[in-house]
Amino acid sequence: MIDETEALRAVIEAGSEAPIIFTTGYTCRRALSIQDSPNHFYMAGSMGLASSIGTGLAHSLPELQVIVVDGDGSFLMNPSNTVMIRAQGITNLHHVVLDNRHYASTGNQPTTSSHVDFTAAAHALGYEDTTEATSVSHLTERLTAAVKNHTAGSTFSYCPVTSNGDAPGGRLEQPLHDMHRRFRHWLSTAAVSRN
Amino acid sequence: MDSILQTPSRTRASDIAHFFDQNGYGPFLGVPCGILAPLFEELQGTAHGFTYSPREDNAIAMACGALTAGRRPVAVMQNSGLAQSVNALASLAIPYRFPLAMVISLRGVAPDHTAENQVMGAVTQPLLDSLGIPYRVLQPETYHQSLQWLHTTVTGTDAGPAAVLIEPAFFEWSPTT
Repeated sequence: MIDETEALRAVIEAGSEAPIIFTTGYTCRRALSIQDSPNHFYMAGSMGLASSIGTGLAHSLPELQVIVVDGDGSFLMNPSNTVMIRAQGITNLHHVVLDNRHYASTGNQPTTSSHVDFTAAAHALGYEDTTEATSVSHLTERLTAAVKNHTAGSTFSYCPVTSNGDAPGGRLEQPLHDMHRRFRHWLSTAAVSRN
Repeated sequence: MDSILQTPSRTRASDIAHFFDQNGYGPFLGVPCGILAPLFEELQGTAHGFTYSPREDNAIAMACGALTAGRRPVAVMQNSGLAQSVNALASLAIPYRFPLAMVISLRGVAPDHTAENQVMGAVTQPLLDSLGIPYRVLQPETYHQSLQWLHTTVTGTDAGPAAVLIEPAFFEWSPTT
């Protein structure tokens, strides 16, 4: 099984030129500790809404390929957003779900993810291209193709992961509105350079 | 003034949609409400159309995504949807300072005496006060000024979300509707 930190590192490396929305909890903190970057949006709260932010962004800037990193708990909290992908004809959103089977940041309580077929659910709700990533290199291949716009449309990558017990890293110290401003500025530059 | 007082709901809805359109707003996102039905119809008729989402907090977060891209979205919902969206506002839109324009109906305010809407009707304004979200209640005589206030507020430096509220009578909603 894929190590959680290695999966996040693969997302960050493959998505170095793409906006990436990280879900709340240890996903944000691990991503921040691996590498902070202005193309990252750390969604510190609002659990379940990372893919909604990504959808709004992807729809507004179709020339960019947008990556969303969810956990199993946050995806299951709000799968309803997934219906917007097909409904809005969004072809540039790439959704990664890292499933560690637990609510890690609140004390490792179990989620219900073992009862869910994530790729089937994502396909039924709107993603044409869904797969289970079987290795870090598989995930890297998927996201590299996505960022280079070599996929036919939006993609969903389900990754069962384990944690090696590493500390998740610190919380974002920068004020949230400053991080938001930095992300907006990066987006405006990225969008211009592609026009 | 008389002619303005007698403005039918269709004209008010058209004025609001026109105001947003003329000031560069869009996309328009949210979940329907009977009180706001004329406004949804007018917004559907704009170049942006209307994006109906499964839940109001989805719409708010999608609007936040559109704001990062430099767009000027408007989130439109019933006050029950505001209740659904408290966390999206409290932990996303407000602390990240997303200058989101919102239009929120006031179910549970006279003449809407439906039991299931009374609680939210009573707490909508106190809730917005507690969240620190500024708002105006649209009135037939002054709604143009209130829309201008909304525009000035969300386009200000470091602005967060702001709202206009719409009572049932504004679009001539009645219990028999």
